[in-house]
Amino acid sequence: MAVAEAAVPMPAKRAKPPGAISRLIAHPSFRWGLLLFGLVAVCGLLADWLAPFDPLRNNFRTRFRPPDETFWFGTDRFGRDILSRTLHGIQVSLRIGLGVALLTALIGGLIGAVAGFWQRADGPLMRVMDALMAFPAVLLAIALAAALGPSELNVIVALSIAYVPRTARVMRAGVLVVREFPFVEGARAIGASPARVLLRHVLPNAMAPLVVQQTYVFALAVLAEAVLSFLGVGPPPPTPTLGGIIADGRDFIQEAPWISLTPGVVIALVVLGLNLMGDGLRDALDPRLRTAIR
Amino acid sequence: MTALVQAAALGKTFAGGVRAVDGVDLAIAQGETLGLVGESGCGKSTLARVLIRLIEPDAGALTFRDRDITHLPDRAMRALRRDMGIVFQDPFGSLNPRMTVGQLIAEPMWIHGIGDRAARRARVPELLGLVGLLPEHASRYPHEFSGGQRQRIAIARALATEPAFLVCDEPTSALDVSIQAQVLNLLRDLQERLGLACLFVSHNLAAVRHMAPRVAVMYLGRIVEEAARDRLFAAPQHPYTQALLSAASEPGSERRTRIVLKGEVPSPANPPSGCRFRTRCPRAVSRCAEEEPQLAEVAPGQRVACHFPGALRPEELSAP
Repeated sequence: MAVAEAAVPMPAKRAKPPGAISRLIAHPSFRWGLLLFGLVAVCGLLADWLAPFDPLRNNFRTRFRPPDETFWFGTDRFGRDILSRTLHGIQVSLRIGLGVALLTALIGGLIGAVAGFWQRADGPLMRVMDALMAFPAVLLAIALAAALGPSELNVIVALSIAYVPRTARVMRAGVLVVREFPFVEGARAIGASPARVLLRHVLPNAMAPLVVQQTYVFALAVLAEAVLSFLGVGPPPPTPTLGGIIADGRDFIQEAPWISLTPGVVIALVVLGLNLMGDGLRDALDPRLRTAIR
Repeated sequence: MTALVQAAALGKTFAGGVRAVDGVDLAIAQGETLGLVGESGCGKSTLARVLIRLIEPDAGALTFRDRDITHLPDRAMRALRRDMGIVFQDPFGSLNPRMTVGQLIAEPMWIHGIGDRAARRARVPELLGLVGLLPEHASRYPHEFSGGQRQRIAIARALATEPAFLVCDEPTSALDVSIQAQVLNLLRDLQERLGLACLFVSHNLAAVRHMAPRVAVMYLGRIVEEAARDRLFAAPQHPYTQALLSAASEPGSERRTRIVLKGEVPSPANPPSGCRFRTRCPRAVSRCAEEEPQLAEVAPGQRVACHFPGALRPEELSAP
């Protein structure tokens, strides 16, 4: 819709809601979350350079090596370096987490916005969402991923379908609130079309809860991806995935606990970091707080 | 004098049966300001919105420039909004916080395809000047302004498309008293200068008197009296108008004796039979419960909806 980006250009552009960024930085749990998540994410992104070994190369002379100065986090039953595999696994997890967060934001945001804005669409759309939500998300994702076949893209699609209802609900709730603001009536009064009212006036003011929600969806998707990989319906081997590495170590948990432990700790750090960031974002973008300050 | 905006038996009933506007006849001529007063909840804001179809009427007919717009399709109605503007009560909520003042003022012109980008950009400082703001304010956000300034921004936005009809819905009641007069004077000045037809809604009698040469009084969804300002304030004929006027203290004049109405405003979902005011009216007799009084001319230009219109009688006064 051309209406959407038809911002009237004005000479000087200034930062949008002032104070939000500085409030965010000042928030301790956001800082800690950013630190944790950022650390893991940077390691994952730089896996190609940081990984000391090829994550896929078998070496039977180095099987089941406990952590030492060569293999910092040990090796698995094929002699593959756990550190290298974990670093590459982080990359996969982040790609899938980000993909799910973006895809659900797009689809769930659209569904929620339409349902919240047009009352006639509300019933049908949200009943479909309720039906989807009735299934446990991970179980639904497993079924979908199994049906679609193992690939990274299919995991993203399956998890997105599973997590869309939450995002749609959050978006709908935001739109329902903003729809009643006086400036929305003002936009109608100057002759703005419904699409313009929604895209230009309602959505920009209803995005904050969505942003918060999507950091949680990111964390949930990382977790769910690990579950899918652990169960063997994630990206197919030999792609290193965090869940897959844990599964590799399952049979040797007594003798070689480092195999499962390393990716497990990484998953915990990523999810913890994302959740802390989400809490910080929530506090910084809280509309109640904002009105109090305004 | 042909009417720019005309309402005939206009009505709006909300879900739950609240008859906020019930059979209102009203006409506003080109360039004329009509004041609309009444207490909170009498339906005056709803009426203001129904007149520009921000709320859909569900009874009666609405005419704009001799054209029936009661059932005008949405698309045509949106195009027509170029000729209508509204200034809302709450200057803090009525401006989108994510748009700059310049964007807010240019938006109506963009929507109605007025001028090209450069022309619209050039018009923004003009409009800002018109309402007493500075060109450099265009790049700021609404939260950087005070209530009075925001109301000026809202006025500039409403006037951007050079409308013929401006609705002011309690434009000053959310402002500090010290600012109210400035905004009122600005509105009156603009109304005269631009030849706007204007509906000025307020519960503040002094503000209405300042703004509007003709005044309508509303009670429980109906217009009970309508007259030229001076006539209405000097010789109100409806007992409700008399009570309303007596409740407002007037600086400079001798203190009037107050009429204290008994009881509460009845529920608009279940208004009294006959005359709506009869439950609180000192003149009410059995006829008032049976027969609804219609607006009828009692003096040139003065219409009253009462079976017993007339000046205040001494026995209707309570002790001062």
